[in-house]
Amino acid sequence: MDFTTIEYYQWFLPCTFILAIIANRKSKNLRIWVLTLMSYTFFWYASGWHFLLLAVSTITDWVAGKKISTSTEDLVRKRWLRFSLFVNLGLLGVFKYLDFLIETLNLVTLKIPESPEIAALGIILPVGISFYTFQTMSYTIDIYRKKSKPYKKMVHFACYASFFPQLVAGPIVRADEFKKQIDSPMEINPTVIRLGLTLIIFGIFKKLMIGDNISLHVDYIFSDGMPLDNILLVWWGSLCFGIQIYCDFSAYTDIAIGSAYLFGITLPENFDTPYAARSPQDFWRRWHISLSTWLRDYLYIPLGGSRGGKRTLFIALMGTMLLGGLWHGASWNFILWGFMHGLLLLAHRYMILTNWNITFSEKFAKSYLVIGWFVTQYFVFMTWLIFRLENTEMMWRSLKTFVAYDAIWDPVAAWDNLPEIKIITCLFVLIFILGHGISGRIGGFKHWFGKQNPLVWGFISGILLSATFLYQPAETVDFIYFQF
Amino acid sequence: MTREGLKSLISSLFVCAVVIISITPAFTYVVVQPLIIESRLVTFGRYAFASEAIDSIAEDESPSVVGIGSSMMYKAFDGKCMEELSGVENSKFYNLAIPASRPYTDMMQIPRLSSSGTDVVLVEVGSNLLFQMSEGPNEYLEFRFTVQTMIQENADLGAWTEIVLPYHQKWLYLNEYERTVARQEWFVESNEIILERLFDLEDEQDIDFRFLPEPGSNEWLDYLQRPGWPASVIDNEWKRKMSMDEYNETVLMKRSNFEPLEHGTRNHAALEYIISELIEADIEVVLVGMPHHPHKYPYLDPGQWDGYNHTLENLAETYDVAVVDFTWQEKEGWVNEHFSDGNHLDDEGRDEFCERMTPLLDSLLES
Repeated sequence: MDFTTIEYYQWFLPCTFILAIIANRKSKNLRIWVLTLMSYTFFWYASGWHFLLLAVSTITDWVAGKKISTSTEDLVRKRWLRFSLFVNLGLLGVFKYLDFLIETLNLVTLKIPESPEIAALGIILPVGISFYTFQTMSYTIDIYRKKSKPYKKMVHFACYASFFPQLVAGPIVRADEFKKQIDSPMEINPTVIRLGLTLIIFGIFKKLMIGDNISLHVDYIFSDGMPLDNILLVWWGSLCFGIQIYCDFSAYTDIAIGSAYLFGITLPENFDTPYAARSPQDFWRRWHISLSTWLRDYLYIPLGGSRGGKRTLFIALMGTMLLGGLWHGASWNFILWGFMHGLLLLAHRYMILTNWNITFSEKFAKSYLVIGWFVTQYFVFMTWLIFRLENTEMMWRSLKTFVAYDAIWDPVAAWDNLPEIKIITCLFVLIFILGHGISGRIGGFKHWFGKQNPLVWGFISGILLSATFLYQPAETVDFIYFQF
Repeated sequence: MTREGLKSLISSLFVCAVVIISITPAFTYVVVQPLIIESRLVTFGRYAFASEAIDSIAEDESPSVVGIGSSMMYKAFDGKCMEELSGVENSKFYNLAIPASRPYTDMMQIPRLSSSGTDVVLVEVGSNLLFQMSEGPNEYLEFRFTVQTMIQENADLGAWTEIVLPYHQKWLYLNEYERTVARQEWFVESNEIILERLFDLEDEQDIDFRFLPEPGSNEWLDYLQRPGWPASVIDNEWKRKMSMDEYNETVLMKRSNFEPLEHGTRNHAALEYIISELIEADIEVVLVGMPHHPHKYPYLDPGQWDGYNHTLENLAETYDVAVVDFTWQEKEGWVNEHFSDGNHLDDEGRDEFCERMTPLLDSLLES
């Protein structure tokens, strides 16, 4: 079960909503119990026995948090923090990176005579492990740093760690933000419920109608035998993938935030029109915000951040981006993707340090913002090729073509090489670009229409749901971020 | 929760539901159905043209005769010729037969035909149509049931749904929700075609016998009377590649080995349903045994087609309907020149069929 399956809307969400309301009338604690049990039920349907890993992570950080907060000895506190990091990173290491490590080791030792080949374990990646381990780790770290206090009851913490809307693919919520909300009684506010429904409808529309349809072009273009020396085809493929991954992931976030609203919980925003960003730094302030801020607070700043000179900055920035890339998946592609973004951020930082950007903006006052936007997005979309293409040969070929090296310009061949449904996909891309631009200007289209009167709201919602039903492809594509 | 807030939430959801319910079924129908009939989404739009055709016939109040059946009826029935020969003023003759059809699939169009005001219906009882339908996958049946039922309405439902074998039931869309879901699968492709036309990017389509004019156009009514007929592949084989003897010994012999059953098949049940429903609607029914190539008969074993003979006899007796048996009783006069292959008539054959049938149909129309 996930946010695109009918079961979620047919029984899971309504049942949980009704149970939570009933429980809320009895007591706050009972509501939290209900939410926790239903979250585990959701996780059981989504990932089977892997819910045990969530339980291990929860118990570990609950105990560690308690011990750290009650102890006055630094050594003890540090020991419990290490214990928490060891368990959480250990789970991640075993379930996410062990096979990757084995494969890399085999690759490295390939040319060493008589070196044994280690068989990969074929471990299935537990859904959402990267998200909930980061979330529970941050809880322990914050207590260790004395930035926050532990939850009073274990079930409250379990609810935080497992809260089903954001369990599988975020947004990554900070323990304090969640605690404030779960501690107060659930308020059934029709306006908030309608806003929640708005976000859910908008998410479904973005995922099933825009993202999944565009993904058909991506899969087709980046399949074997396609002429990837055609620059228009590669640009189109990269543009489509950029739109697909945004629609896919931001749709998940919308549905997560919308679902959480139904239970009186406000989750943080994860996206802020990222394709309107005018610099690499701006991009990371708009893309996967909850991860960016997590990496900033728990990795970049502890590594020295921008306070310790150029060398520290380089290490902190590149280290954060490399690990951020690796967080996405156990593959060299993601490391390279993180590295490329690290380079972009460093280049941008270099421009700021040398005041080059000020000189440039003075010289080209009118076109400065446009050029900034274009250059940023050009590189962002280029790096999507690294993110998408696991086949190394195909990736290098596409990258070369993307930068017009050894590439051909053939619009007719590019058009002919697109899948059967061409015009509609082009229209969806256009709708996305317009919607993204307008949404950026008015501060979120979904929030605007969530506040409209019943007639307008009902009409727009009806149109969006009808269009989604009519245009959804035969097969729903799995959420991309489920694999992380 | 305030009363005002709750009211606003409920009315929002109500408007949303109304929009969805009114938009999706109508949109899918308006976009998909014409392109199916036009043979753009399927190989031959005739497989889905029955409902539109019957509606057009119903709009015309003149005396009308409709022929239903398989490709044998489809290639035999020339409504224009009959209209010209007929002595009944303003009478119209419509060919609604569909290639590869059989009573089991024809029965889907009977409720609509029954209420169309048609006066006479020619029902083909073919020796090759009286076979046992088997449960299990069948591409043709899946296609026919799917395409026909997804563009139907509730008024098209009837007892025929109970004749459909349990395995085949899953290919029927029996309510508006199911029909909308089924049409949705064709919706995106249909939109793409419409946009291709809008931007003038559509590939040139071959205009051949598969072409169906737009329902409601002037050509449409002509098409219902005199559809396009394909040239027979066998015809070419026979006349260009093989000698007649060679053809008789190979193709014809193979095509004569079927043994029609006497009763108990779904095709028999469908025939009974078709006849009884039409009679109940005060429509004259004529059972027609189609003509076969004279060279076919020597290849039949004695009694091989008894199943067909008994079926025709039983139906005529049970329902007291007229019978025209070109297969046996009136097989004289059908010669090689009338056929494009072992089963199907050519232009000359159609004229012969027209000349022989029209007087009988006139008498029924006049009565």
